[in-house]
Amino acid sequence: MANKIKYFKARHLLLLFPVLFFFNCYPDADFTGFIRSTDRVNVRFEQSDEWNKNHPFKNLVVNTSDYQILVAADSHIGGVKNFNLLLDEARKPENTAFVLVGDIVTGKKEDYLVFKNQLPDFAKFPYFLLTGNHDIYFDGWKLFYDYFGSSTYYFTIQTPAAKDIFICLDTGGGTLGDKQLAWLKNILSTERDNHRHCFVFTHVNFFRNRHTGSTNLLVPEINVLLDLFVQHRVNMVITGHDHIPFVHVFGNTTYITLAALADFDRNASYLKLGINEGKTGYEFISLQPIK
Amino acid sequence: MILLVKHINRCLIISLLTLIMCFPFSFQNAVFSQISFDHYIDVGNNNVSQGVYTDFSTRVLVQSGSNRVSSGALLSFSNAQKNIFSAYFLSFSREIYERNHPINIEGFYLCKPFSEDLREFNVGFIADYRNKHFGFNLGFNSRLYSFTRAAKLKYNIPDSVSTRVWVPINLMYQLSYFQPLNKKMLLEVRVTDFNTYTILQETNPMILTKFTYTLNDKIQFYSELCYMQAGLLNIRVNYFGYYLRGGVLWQIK
Repeated sequence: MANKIKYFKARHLLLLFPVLFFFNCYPDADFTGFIRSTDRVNVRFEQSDEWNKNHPFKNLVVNTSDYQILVAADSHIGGVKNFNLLLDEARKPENTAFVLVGDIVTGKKEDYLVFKNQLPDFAKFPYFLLTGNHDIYFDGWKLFYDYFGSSTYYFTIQTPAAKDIFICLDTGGGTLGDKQLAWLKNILSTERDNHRHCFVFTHVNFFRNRHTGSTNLLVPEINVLLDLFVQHRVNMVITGHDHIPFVHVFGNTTYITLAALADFDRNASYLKLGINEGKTGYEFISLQPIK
Repeated sequence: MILLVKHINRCLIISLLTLIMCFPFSFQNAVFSQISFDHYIDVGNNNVSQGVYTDFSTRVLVQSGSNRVSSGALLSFSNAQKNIFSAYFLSFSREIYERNHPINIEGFYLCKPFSEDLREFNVGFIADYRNKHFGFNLGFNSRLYSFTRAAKLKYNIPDSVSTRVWVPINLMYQLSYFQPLNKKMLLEVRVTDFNTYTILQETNPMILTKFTYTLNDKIQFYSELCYMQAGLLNIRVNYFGYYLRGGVLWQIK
């Protein structure tokens, strides 16, 4: 019996080696997050909320009734080839802003710096950023907060005819947390009826379209959000995370999962989100067509 | 109080009616050999419950030979949920022997009217194997979200627009370790992505400990403590919630 126990323990010790080896070989993930994240979603939200108090929500004014914004996910900078293609497109006058819905970088400081240096001047071209799980690896939230500020906020776009609201949420930790959820409920209750269309951006996709290791919000949380979005007539919920594009129409709400923008993704694409004659529309723009 | 009694009665009536309807299918050996009632109360808190919530479940299990039919309903009392009647469960299972090891194969249906407007439906099957110290469950479920008919009218959703989202397949698993403390007490530690009325995604496991006390051959008391986390395979673990369960299993032979 004692021999068996010794053998059992020895096998476990041997197993540790490949596990440690694997941890060291994958450079873009912070494996301390398996046990406990270095930041907590409620703390991130409180900091975002504090930032929002000192930085009023942005209102972009366009002179035409139709407008268009670009939305991309999972750029995973380091590499900036695809991101620069997005920027080239974004600079065209028909685009009002661009939004990156998380996993912008790997979380490492050098990648944050690469990204920060690529960004255009906000006054010349507005952009909106929110965190994904990769952005907060390696204590990346501190860098995100220092460089870009809040990850839970909203902005509006005002046309001569109407005003639309765009809500950005932080699901980098795999949950909104109770405080951010309360904030979202409050914003939808107080602001939704003052706006024509309502869009929600967040990183983690709602519906699993395939078996993948990436984690979604828990089912009870998804159920609450689905109900909330039905009640408040949210037009679109735009997410990333899965790297595979997918569209689910669920009543009056369209749930869009974006492909990755990352250079390493063979099917990289982004989304053109438009308002045309008062109606919402979207189009996936492929950067590297499938060969 | 009257409302609570009404809902509890509704739970029991639905469970018993379903079992009566299913009677011909499970009827194999002329009479049922065993009927059990499983009642429990959960007290918990999570990121979406807006404070402490309480669930009350009642389940009826009927066993005939190696076949078993089970039906249950869940009442939820929380600040976040308007629907008190929040889940209904029905399952059929059969015990088979593979190389002299008993394996329980179960097919189930779960309906969750989680809001006034929306429903979650699940169907699936799961296999269960247990030895003295370890238990293994493995299976699949398919999930469908749907609007109610009333909600389609309420929100003016035309027939051309989809009011359903289907999540085709999700892995269900449970790994348990059992440690008998004495003849009457059993301790269990479990990692799983499901319990009776909740099926999480395969990437969202929960950790659970269960303590069972067998009073006599008819009555068992049990308590469970469950911890739910979010973001494990995103490598960003955050607290999601917990619940504490107290229940009684009463067997009528």
